[in-house]
Amino acid sequence: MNSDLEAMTSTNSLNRSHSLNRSQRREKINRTVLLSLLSSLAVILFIVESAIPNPLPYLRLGLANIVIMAVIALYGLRDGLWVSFLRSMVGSLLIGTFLGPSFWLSISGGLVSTMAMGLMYRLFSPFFSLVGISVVGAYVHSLTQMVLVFVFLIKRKEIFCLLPVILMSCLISGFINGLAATFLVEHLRKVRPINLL
Amino acid sequence: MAAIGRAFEVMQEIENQASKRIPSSLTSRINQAAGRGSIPVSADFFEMIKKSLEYSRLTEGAFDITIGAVTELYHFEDGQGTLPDPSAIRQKLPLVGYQQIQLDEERRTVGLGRPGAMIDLGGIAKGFAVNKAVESLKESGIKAGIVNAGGDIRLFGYKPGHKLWRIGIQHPRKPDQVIASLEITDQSIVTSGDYERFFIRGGVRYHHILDPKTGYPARGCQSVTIVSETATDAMSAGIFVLGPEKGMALIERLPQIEGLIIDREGKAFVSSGLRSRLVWRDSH
Amino acid sequence: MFPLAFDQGWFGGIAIKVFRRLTWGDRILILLLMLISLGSFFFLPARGKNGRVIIQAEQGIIGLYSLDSPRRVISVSGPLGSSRVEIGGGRVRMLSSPCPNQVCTKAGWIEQQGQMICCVPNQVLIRIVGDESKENESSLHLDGVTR
Repeated sequence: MNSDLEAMTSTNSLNRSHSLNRSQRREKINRTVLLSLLSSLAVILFIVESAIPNPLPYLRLGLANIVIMAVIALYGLRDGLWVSFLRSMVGSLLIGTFLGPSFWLSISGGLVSTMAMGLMYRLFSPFFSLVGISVVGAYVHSLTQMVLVFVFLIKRKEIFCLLPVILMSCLISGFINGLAATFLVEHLRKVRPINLL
Repeated sequence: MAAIGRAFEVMQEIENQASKRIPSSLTSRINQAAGRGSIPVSADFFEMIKKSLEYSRLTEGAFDITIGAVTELYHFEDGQGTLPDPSAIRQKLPLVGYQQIQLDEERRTVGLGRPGAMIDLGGIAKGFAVNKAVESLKESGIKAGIVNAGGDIRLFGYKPGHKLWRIGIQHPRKPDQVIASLEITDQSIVTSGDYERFFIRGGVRYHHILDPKTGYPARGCQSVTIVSETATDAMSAGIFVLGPEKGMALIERLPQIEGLIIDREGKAFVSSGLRSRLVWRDSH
Repeated sequence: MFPLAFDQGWFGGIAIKVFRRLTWGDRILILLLMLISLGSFFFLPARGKNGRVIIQAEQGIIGLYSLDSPRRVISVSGPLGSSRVEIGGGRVRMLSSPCPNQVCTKAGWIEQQGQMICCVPNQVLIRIVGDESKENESSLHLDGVTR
């Protein structure tokens, strides 16, 4: 399988990219494959989460965030934004909320929080671990959605009464997701699953 | 303040002319002259009678000021009321009919055709007075205000801060509660209810809104609220008599009025133009 | 460093491991956010019973009801159809809703002042406000009553 892939790409890229050497090409393929796997994982987590009966509505675990954080750590902000975008698009298409209010909330909350996490990772990476970044991402996600609901949907300041509960739950879910992302990234860095192909 | 004083004078003047309790009022003199001749009246009074005929035609006789001959039998005004003998009602009923009202534009006189007939302007005078008071206030240069004559309300302009007026609608069975409220301006809102003047005999409520066809209180509704440009208590009373189905059909047919009808079971019917404006309250 | 219970047993073990993984930045950040989150509880309007229910739809407030009235169901129309709100016995809930996610109906009963149920898809908002709250007062104030 490994040799097949290599043969395919080597014949393909002979006339295209002479600047890339063999290991760089392999790295690129690894990246593409891993990103698609992670994207589909994000979508699955997104769907699974929406199917879990939720004791407290408005509060979500944000499991897909684990994947997005891993992507940010492994491949950077740009790819993180892509995965976040795909998660909302594909996820909502599959659940059936596409282009509804919850879709717009999900995609904007996702993109803004990914942006925040990506910038934080780029600027303060050794100072904050993924746990700290994840917590901030969860806060940004919830606050973005809350502001959007306030501006476009409910237009009453009373919705901010939910704020304390949401902030506390963000702290908890952000913390857990951050730990999960830490382990995921460590594992992926150690195992490099694509190299096993 | 002078403007407000003037508005009160305007209302008082209409009350004085329309009241049947004042022996020298235009109403009393017309009733005394019934079947014998016409009485010259003021311009406002003439206009009020003309308006009442308009409403009689619009409601096909459900609103009729000549019900006075029957209303008198119930003695609502004494606070206790009397349940009249059915034969007395039968006897007076032929005296009811707005067609007998004789108006003479030239000489500005009003007369009744049938001897013994009586007009009762209780169903139109309040609204008419409210409209005249608002006109007077506007003429005095007042930009915003609310005129409320015992629940017949007309509003114009805005409250400070460019806010609309908020008016409650009385719950027909809970005296201290409103059933709904709405925000409103440059319109009037009037209600006719079976809870205003009534007495109960043998478990039956006898109220002051009589059906001109039967001489007995109309049974279809508990209350009718009408929202329109000018105060039209005659319209709410007429629709009360028509009952919920015919009444709502009439409201929907007339583009300039909207309404809320509470039927005899307490069920609310709201006209299409009012539906999104009402805020229901507790007691709904 | 840890309270007593945290350095013993399997949970203590995990807690210490997790704590060691955090950077100083994380620890300060989390402490700060925790303080802010807890602090925000105190900025809430006072909670208490005997509130009023305000039901809002697309066009604004459509109903004001007292919480402890006998049970009744109120229909509210939104962009997706009719939502039904049940009020009674000091609490309120979304009885049924035409929305796809049913977050609002799953929220169950609410009974405290300041609590709310909001159905984003059908644009219905149920709120409980205090009898003395400013908003309640201003929405209850009437310039007149037609009777």
